[in-house]
Amino acid sequence: MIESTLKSVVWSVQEYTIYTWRAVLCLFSPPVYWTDTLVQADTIGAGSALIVALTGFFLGAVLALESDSLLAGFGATGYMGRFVGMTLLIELGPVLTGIIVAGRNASTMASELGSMVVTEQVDAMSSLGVDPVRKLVTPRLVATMVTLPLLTLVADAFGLVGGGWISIVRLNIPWHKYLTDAYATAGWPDVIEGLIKPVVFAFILASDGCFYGMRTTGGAEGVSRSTIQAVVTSSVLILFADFLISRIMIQLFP
Amino acid sequence: MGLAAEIPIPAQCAQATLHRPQMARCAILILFRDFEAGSSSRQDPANPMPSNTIDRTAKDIVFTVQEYSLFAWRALVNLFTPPRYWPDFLVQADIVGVGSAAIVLLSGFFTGGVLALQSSATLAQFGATAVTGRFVSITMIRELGPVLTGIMVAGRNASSMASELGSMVVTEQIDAMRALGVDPMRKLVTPRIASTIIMLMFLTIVADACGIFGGAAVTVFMNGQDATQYFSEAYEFLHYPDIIQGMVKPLFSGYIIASIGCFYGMRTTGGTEGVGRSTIQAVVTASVLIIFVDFLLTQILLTLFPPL
Repeated sequence: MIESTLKSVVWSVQEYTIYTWRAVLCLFSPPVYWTDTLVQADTIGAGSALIVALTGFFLGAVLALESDSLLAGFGATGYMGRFVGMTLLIELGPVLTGIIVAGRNASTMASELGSMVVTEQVDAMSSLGVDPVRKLVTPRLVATMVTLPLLTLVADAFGLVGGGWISIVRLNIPWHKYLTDAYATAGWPDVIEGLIKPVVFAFILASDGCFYGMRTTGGAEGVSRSTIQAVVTSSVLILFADFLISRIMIQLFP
Repeated sequence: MGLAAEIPIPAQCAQATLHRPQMARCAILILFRDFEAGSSSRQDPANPMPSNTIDRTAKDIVFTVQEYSLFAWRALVNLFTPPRYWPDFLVQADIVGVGSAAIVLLSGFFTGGVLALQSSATLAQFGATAVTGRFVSITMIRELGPVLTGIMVAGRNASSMASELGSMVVTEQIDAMRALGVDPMRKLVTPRIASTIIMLMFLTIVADACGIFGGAAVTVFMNGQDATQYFSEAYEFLHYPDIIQGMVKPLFSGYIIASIGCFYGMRTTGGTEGVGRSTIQAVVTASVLIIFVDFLLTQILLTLFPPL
């Protein structure tokens, strides 16, 4: 029981590695399907923009609300802008955007590719001489890696606005103080960290979504199973990768 | 073929010559594509082309909200009258609670670890690394525990509820159930809502505990601080208002997750593709609503129970 579970886990990891490697390699040799990449970038980027903006706004607002009492404990309520800005930039912006986009798009990818596998469209594609990995997976991977950093920026900006709203209306912090504090504290290492994380998260969620989609078996039920597996695995992996990247960045830029 | 093909960008957007109002309309339609849920199913029969105008999208949203309110109300009222399906309740509690325990445990642990890493780096600027424990436990219990658990469980269970009920609707099992005299709301929706509300609270407690231990692992093994100091800081500065806030939030998120998942599942139309669509809508809507309600609850609870 345990042995077979372990073996299947190791086997999945191996399959996943080989498969992602192939998807990445496809990028460096023609034909590259740019049209598909654009369509995917629209679905992932423009399609998720609204929910990412909404979540970012309320996240920033909650952050300002919650940190008020925490900062008051140190007599540091004036640091609100710094606190909200930094937390959003390096940590919560990337992670929550990643998890929300995983919920929306890793599941979409898994269910799209899964139903294509189940209805044998993928086999038809390979028999017509089109590499399914090249045509389906690589565009999704590239599109997500390009758009997720932009979405994260949207979330950061809206979060800053949300935090500013609460700071000004409820906590009576002057807006110029809030904004100056937020702007002055963010250094280049923080910006780098905040933009590297979404690229890695994008890689994780796109490859995970496509991987689980492509290995779907067992009809419509299998599709919904692999959809859920894709969301769960990519969310946990995003949090784990976040931990690793934070550790590395603290080491690099102390 | 897929979602992108299913909800097309309005044709005008593809043309090069766009007037400014048209452009604004296209932008709104592109952004709201997740929420114009029923428009494809309730098309005007006289006009088979999808006419995605703003007023239509707005009407759709209002109609969806109305349907959802009625749905959620009926599901909740069912709790107070017999028959209640306790076995279904237990099965769902097992699926939602025990099934999600592993991912909630893992994500809680890493979140707490990151929290300790980042906050000790920030607190070092003030020479206050000693208060890492306080910081981690308060943030975890009041805010990140409930929200992250909610979003994780939404990704796992709101989607599985939507796809389960959706495929039951599509294969007409729901109609069969009704024909046999069983109320599908009572048999399928109410047990899911009740069990998610109860189990999400326990899952949040698990996530909080794992987060505090994750923070302890980072603080002790990576930052080389004292474990006793960490835990006493974590425990001493935790007051009842914080606990209340942390325990009330998952009740609401649980209700949102289950009712949204079941709602989108029950109104699925259009075969297997429709099931996939409603799964994704369920996850998206539940995640956004969880964060929105979290904000509202924080406002209300901070006013009712001001932190000590």
